[in-house]
Amino acid sequence: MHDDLSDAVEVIVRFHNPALFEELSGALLSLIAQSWRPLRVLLVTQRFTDAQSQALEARLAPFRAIDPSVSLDVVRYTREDGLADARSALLNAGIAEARGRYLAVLDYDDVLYPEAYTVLVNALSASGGAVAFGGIALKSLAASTAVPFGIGFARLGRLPGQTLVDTFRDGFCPFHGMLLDRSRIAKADLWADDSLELFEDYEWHLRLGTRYPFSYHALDNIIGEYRYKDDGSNTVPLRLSIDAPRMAIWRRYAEEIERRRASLEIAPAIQAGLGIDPPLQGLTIRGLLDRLDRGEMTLRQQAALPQRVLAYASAEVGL
Amino acid sequence: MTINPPSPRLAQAERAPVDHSPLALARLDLSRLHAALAAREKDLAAREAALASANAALKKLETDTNSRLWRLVKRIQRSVSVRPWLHGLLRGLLAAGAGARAPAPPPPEASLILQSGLFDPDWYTARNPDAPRAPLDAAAHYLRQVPSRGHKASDRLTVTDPSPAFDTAWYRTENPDIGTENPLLHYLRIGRHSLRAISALAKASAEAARRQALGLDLPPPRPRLAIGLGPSTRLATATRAARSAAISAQQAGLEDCMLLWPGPAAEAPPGTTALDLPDDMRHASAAHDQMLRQAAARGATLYIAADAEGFFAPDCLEALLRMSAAADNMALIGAADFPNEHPRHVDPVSFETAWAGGACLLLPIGPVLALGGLEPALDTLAAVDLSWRARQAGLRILACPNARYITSQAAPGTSDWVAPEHLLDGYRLARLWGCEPVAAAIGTEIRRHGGMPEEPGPDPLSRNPDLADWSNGFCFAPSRW
Repeated sequence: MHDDLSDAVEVIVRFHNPALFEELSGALLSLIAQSWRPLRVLLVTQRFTDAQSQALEARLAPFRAIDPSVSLDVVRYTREDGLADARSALLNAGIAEARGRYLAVLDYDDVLYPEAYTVLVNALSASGGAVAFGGIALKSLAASTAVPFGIGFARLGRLPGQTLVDTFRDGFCPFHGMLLDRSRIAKADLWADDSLELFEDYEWHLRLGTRYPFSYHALDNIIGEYRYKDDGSNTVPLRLSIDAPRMAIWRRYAEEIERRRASLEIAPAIQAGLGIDPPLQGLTIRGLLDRLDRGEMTLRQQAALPQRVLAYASAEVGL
Repeated sequence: MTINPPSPRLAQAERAPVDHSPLALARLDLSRLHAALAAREKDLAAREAALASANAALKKLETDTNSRLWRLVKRIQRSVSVRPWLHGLLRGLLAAGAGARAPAPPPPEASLILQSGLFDPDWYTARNPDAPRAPLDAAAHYLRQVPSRGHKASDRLTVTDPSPAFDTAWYRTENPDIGTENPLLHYLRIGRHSLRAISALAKASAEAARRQALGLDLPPPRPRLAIGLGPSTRLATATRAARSAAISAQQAGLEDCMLLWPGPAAEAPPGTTALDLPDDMRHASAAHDQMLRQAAARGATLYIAADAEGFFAPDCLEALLRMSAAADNMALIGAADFPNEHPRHVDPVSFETAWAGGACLLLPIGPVLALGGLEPALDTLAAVDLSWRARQAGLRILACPNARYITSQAAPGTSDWVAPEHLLDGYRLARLWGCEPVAAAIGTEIRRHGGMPEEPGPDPLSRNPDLADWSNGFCFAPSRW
């Protein structure tokens, strides 16, 4: 492993269920395959017992041995207080361990293509942004116990969106399509809201998006996949109906996100980047979106998404 | 050079401009409309013929009012206690006559479900006495009768199943996203494309068949295995490939797995046996062909051709060996390129595919040597050529979804990578298989880019042009995406 982490990409991988190691293995393999070095994986486990942690270490051993240049560190989150789904707390545990320049997040059931972080680091360098996003393809998998990784049957393009305003409207950038440059973000701003059991990634994007420049230039590059399995195991299930209790939770957190839109003020520098000149004092995300929707404001022309990405996104098969 | 078949990005790059341009889409729509129109006209002609026949029969009955049959019909009409099936027959007969005045055409979906093989008219009408006997009308009856909403998960709608194979209630329970759509129509429109099952039995059967195809219930195989790493000038990645091969072999319980390297010992990754092949055998297909022969000489029965730019998942080798054992070691088996699989179609139950290949390919040494080995005149398409020859010889061609080989394939559509070498290889492949029109077309394309087609050397092997499938261009199989 590299001792010098100054240019390291550190990746937080949250892992909450030892039984899902097969899916985790795919995420780890896609990280080992990354062309960017130095690379450090912060595997944050949620309330694993000692026995579970030992078993995990044994299963990680061959992955560590494949490429010793990739550092694979397990961070144990053991606090029992707080939310049952400690996804935000796991993020904060990973952030507390991070020491490199670049920070990323990859969920245990998603994958990145080998050039992903090289593309995103280059995007950050070229744009001067604090956060860069790459394109993430949606892929559908049929669940099968015989094939634990699922059987791929459809690639659905990617979620529509290409600008900061699109991010303000909806979360179209999956977490693992993001890389942030910690040297351009105040340490005090790097935290996840541990009161959220859902949309913690989107809240992160909204909050940072009001204060730091985002780069969407790498959306042209599909750098990974968001994998939908048809057994409903994703946080956002593709085809199974959401039951009433779960829907109630969704609504509650969606309302919370809307409250954030109403309270998060867009910094003058970000407004300037959007072409709002002079900046409006106290302009919130909701205020901006309402003005746009009422036709009271027009923004600087955003760069159009390259045609080939549109073509890729429209290459819908079956669904 | 590798023996990789065409990469996903090439496949995407080749298709995307054609598939998604407005003009192409308009042409596609037009061709679909033409096809739909032709189908409707054919259906209309058949229905008109049936109608004419029914009208003729009715006219005959009406003119022969003294006939015993007509009297019987009249008596049944007056009867209070009619048998349902007879009543249905009568209604159908009368409807046929009335249809001449006000025909009610079945919905277009009726033809769809009739052609699907999942609607059995005889089975359905036997359980639904009021349904018309004519298959198309019975299908229309099914579409009208199957309720689209209001059924609980526990409902067993056996009376409205379209055939014994399709379990309507089960399908509805398993697929809550169905909404108000007819379950069979939903399956034909979406479900069959997304690998959904039509009954609990079908689902269990498919899963059992997958387990069998993957060899999951077999004892761990322990064949004499040799792994050949393709040529690479990057020692770091080749070392990673070698290390991952050793780890995967250990996980599979193989104690005497051979790891072969085509180059000199001074450039060999640790743990490999360097063969120091002559320079003209250092491109992938020639190198793998030589390493396969060396492996045979050293007693191996299975050979894995691996791209030294990629690496094995720890469980990759065991998955490949299990599938090979399940196929009696008479199959070419490609590992799954991970994380970016090639888009070629793979049967989701048997895992049969049109060609085996990718960055990691398992070969049964004896049968492959009997085929003449890998074609050294080819480069990236050697695996396609071998797959076609293997099928000709009766070998199976499989893709193993549980065997992940991590490759450095770039994202589809993100690169301007063009493959002049791939075109040249396609030209050679077409010539080897005697597909002259294809060779001429590729040759034109090569010249258009300023290149010159290279003639393949003398072919010592016999190839059957009928087995060469160019219908999918350089994808060599329908796309699964």
